[in-house]
Amino acid sequence: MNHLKMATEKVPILLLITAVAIAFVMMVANRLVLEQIREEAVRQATRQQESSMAAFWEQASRRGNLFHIEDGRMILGDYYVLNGSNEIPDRIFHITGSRATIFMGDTRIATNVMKADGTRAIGTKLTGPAYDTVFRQGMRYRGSADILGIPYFTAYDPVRDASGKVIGALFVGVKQSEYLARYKGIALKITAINGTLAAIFVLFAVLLILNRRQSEREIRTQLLFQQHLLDTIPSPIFSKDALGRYTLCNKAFQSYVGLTREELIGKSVFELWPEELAQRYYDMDREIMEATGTQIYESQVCYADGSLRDVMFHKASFRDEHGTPGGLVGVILDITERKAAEKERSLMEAQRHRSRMMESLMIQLNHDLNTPLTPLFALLPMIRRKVEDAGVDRMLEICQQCVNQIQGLAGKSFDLVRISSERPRLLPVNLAVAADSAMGDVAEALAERGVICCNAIDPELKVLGSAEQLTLLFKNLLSNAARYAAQNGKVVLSATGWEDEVVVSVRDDGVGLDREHLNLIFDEFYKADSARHDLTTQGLGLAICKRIVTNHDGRIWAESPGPGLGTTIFFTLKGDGSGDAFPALYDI
Amino acid sequence: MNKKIMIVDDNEYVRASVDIICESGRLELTSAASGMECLEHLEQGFRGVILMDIMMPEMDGWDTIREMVGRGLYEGNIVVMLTGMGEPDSKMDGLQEYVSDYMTKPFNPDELLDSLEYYLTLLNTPVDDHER
Repeated sequence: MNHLKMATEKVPILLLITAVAIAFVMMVANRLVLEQIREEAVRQATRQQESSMAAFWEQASRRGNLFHIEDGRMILGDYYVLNGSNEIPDRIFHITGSRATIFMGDTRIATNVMKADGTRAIGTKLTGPAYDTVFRQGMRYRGSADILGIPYFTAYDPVRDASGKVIGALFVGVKQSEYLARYKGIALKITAINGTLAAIFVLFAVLLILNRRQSEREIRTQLLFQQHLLDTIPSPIFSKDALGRYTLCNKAFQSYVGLTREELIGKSVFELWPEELAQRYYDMDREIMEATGTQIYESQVCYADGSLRDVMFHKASFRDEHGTPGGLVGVILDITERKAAEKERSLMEAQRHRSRMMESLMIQLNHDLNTPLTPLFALLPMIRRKVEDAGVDRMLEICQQCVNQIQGLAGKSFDLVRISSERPRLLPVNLAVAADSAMGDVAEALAERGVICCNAIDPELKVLGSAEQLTLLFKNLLSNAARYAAQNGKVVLSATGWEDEVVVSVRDDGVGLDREHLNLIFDEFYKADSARHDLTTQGLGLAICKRIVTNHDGRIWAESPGPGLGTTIFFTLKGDGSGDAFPALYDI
Repeated sequence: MNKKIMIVDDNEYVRASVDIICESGRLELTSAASGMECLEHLEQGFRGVILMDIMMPEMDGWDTIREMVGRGLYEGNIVVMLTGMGEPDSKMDGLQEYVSDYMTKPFNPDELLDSLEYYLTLLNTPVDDHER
């Protein structure tokens, strides 16, 4: 990636330098060519003055061949006065386009060179190098010369009298500015074209660079997004090139291996891990890269933070456009929690299995206990009837009590297991009917001690519950009440409540309870002091009640003003929602 | 008057106890140690009140009732099921109508006698009288 970055940074600078260099070369070449064209133009102008001068002499020769000065005038031939005679210069201008002048001595006597005010420059003097050449050295002059301060391409020829003395001069010339105007136009056009081309070239380079920058920005944005996306995924992700060097990774992978991205990218497994581990990774990578497709396997790895995790590797190789292995991508899924959940599930399954086994064991045990109890239960009363000895009868009575106790224990244990093994389906149940049914079951026990039971539950009241379990609940509470109510006492069942919760109470006027016992009485096999030596109880009744109430998502508790002042057991049940009938009873 | 009782139970002592109770109540008892034996007695013409244990090996109480009904041996009998507390009742579906009562083991001899005498009376009451 750094390689690529360097390359992408260098390319635009090189491109710009090249473009500027080409533009510079173009401008230099342009200048050289224009210089040459100008030189050619100057040569041409000089040649033109030569031919203009030839035409001047030819025009002069038509008027005569000899010049002489007479009375301050220059005369050609016998009589042609040249002073003020602009005819010949004008003709030359007409034929050749060159300005022409006739000098007498160094003074212009006929000319079409104009002064600044637009009049002919008659009477003005010849100065400068042309004067020196013509009048001092008596030679022709060719080249540039300033006339009245304006540069001209010029040709001066000395004019001699018959004796060969220089008495004047002929001049032809063009204003350099006029002659070069055309050249300058062309030069300007060529320069403009070349300049535009150079500018376009540079501009193109700049645009190319800008475009490249834009693409790079887009790619960078995309790469950033991709990295962000990868970093957000909580599973470690990585990729390697064909040589097994890391090319990409996300944050989760960094924290997994405990190394930064910079430490990872471009490194092979051999540079990062111990030899043996690296070799194993390398072999697995080779395997997946050679055989295309995906590779999934479970493993246990140690994270950099020292935690041992159950993971699942998902790897897939990819190939470049030529079909040769390009590298691989991999994802590590942490399945520790899933494994834990699976374990939990199988534990719960095992627990359910155990509880089912327990239940069927209890059913079998109950049956197997009841079967031998049946003859004992059936025959003991018959034997006692036939016995006349009071001592033997007492012994038989003890046997009878023991049999009762065994039978009660078997029944209650079974009840406890059965109601604990699974939650019942809660359906609308008439509470008063369930209470009546239980009262019928314990009627004998109540009658034995002369206890009166009063069912004050609204006969219309319905709760959500299991009829069987609610009857069992009342039965256990009533048998307790029958046992602990006052002799010839009273037990009252009542229910108050609202739509969603019904509070049921079973109140007796019996032995009552100490504060310390109030919460303990619902524990399995717990007996309060008064019942501790009562062999006819098992200490399971209230534990069964608690389980049943829990099965109904309710609460159960006991209240007692103190020993000898009676006990009230309260429990809550869910109303069936119809709940408009039951306060009626209390209005009566 | 028909005073025939049949006890169907795989436990020998239960059968013996019921025998003693019936003898004290002057009832005629037929003992069957299994559902198969019960059916044999019915095939041989037994009609009366049947005390049927539910949990028995091979053929349980419900299977026996199903077989009785299937073979047309139910008519003229009254069936009282002997059950331990909370024994599974999943197999009773559709057979309740053939059962007149349930008696929980262990039972009191007087309760058993009262119950048997009640059902014998019912059995001996002609149907016509019943309707009249």
